[in-house]
Amino acid sequence: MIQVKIISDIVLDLVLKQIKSKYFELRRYIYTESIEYTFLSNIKDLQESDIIVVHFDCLFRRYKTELLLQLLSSIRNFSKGYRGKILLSNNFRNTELPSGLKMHIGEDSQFILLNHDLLSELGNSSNVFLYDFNKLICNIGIQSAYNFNLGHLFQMPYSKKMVEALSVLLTEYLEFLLTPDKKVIFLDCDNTLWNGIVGEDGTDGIQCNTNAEGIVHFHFQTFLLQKKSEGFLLGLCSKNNELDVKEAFDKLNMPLKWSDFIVKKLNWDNKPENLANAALELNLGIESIIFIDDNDFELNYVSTHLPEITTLKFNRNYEYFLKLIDNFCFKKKTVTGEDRTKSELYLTEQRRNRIMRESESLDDYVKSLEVCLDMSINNKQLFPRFSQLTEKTNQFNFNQEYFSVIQLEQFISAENLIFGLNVVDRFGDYGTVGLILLEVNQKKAMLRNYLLSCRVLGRNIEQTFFNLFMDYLSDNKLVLSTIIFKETAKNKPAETFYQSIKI
Amino acid sequence: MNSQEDSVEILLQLKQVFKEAMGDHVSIDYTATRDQLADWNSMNHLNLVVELENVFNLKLSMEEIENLKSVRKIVDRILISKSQKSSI
Repeated sequence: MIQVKIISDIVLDLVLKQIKSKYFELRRYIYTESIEYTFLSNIKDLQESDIIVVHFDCLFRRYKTELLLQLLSSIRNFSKGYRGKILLSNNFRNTELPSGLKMHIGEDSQFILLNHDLLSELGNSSNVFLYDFNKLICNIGIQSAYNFNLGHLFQMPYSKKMVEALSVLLTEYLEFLLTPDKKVIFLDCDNTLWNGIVGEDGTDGIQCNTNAEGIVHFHFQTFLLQKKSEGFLLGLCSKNNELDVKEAFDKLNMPLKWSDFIVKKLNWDNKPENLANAALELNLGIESIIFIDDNDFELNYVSTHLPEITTLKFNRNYEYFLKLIDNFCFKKKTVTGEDRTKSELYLTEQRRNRIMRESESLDDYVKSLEVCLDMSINNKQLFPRFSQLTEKTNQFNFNQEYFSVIQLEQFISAENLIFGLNVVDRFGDYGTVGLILLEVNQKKAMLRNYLLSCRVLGRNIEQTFFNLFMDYLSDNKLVLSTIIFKETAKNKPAETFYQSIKI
Repeated sequence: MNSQEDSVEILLQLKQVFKEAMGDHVSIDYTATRDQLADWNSMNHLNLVVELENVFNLKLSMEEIENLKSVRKIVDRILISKSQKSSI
């Protein structure tokens, strides 16, 4: 079970009592009078947990600026050698009492600078995450979030409302950190992507614009376009005639275009079946899908038949809409270059599949693709992508061991080697799709892990890359003595390959 | 409604508030005090204040938080806040 530790200078028992999850266990809660000191003195103890939550509150405690900066730097130093994740309260703000208008303006800019420092200091660590505590306070309002009398007597300044809101935020954030990112968003059309029913009202009768009837839908489409640029795939799953929907996209100038959708299930079949088929076509797990519809019947139908799918209801109320897009399922833990061009990658994949259906045999097909493999060794620029692969790859993954960027850097500080794989074929560039981690000790080598993205499986790349790798070993007089393999629920493809190369 | 009826009503609500703050096994009556009730420790007093402020819409001062050491005192405090609200 994943273990979470919480460090705070506020008595959080009430908040923690309400945090319950099947994903993690709250192992220990450390109440301390000086957070920054905890990070310097309890390093061993802290390193044993999987996630550390650091909660501090500048509205309640009047920290000195130097103290906040010290906290920041001790967390940054700690995070470098830490294998887990750190979740940090974003609440850097001015804490000194304002003593005049001019002074006050100065303090405000100091507050902005502190937040800027925070982001630039921690923005580059791949294992530090922020939860927006300031936003939570804004939503509730200081008056109803705090009770300073109680706070200064019991070191716990929050009202019941605030206690509940904070425990919900922490639970959702921790679960977000512990579950794989969602990958694809499927959308209903009528009354979700636009106002009205295109099959009945015609393209002139539906709205997705900046007027009252269409603005929520317009902003929703803009949001989805943003998600696409962050690496989400978009799909349609709607009970419509395909021609009507195509016409709507062609005729109306909406933020999203027909070509933005990678899969279109526009028919009158039931939605669970459509979504399950779409997942197969994209070679993605059901659990990586988000489905959004305005219709309760459809949402229930999908969640009953495919409970792993995240179903969300669309509603025209703008405040509801703001909550909808704030959902954690739309967030990504890392955004790499590959993510941004993912839609493009899947489109070329679809073109490949078309050729495959036309080719006589798999061999012919692989030949016709003109696959080109490029192997790199210890290329540090690829480490963020490598780390992401160790986290996200399930099917062709020898043992599912996770490596952070820092751990990868530590890994190669000895004689060890990391082989990266880039693949290009005549349809396009797959990007970085695989790696082999090799532990080397006096010419004896142990294969620590081998993994390949599912995008390149089934075209003999697993063998070709392995051959390249073995060639390198024999050129350098290295002997492969051990291969680490561990069966998981999903790595059947890796096991099949492992059996064929077992030493 | 006179203050006698009010007190009965408040006491009923308080029984629930104490269970919420200190656990379902806790049962109180009008005469209960902090000295008698084992569960009414410092941590649970904190829980109690959070619940009281929420249920009865109170803002207590530091002195009040420290001095609310019996159910009778809590009932009185709630009655005062109610009479202030109704007189506005």
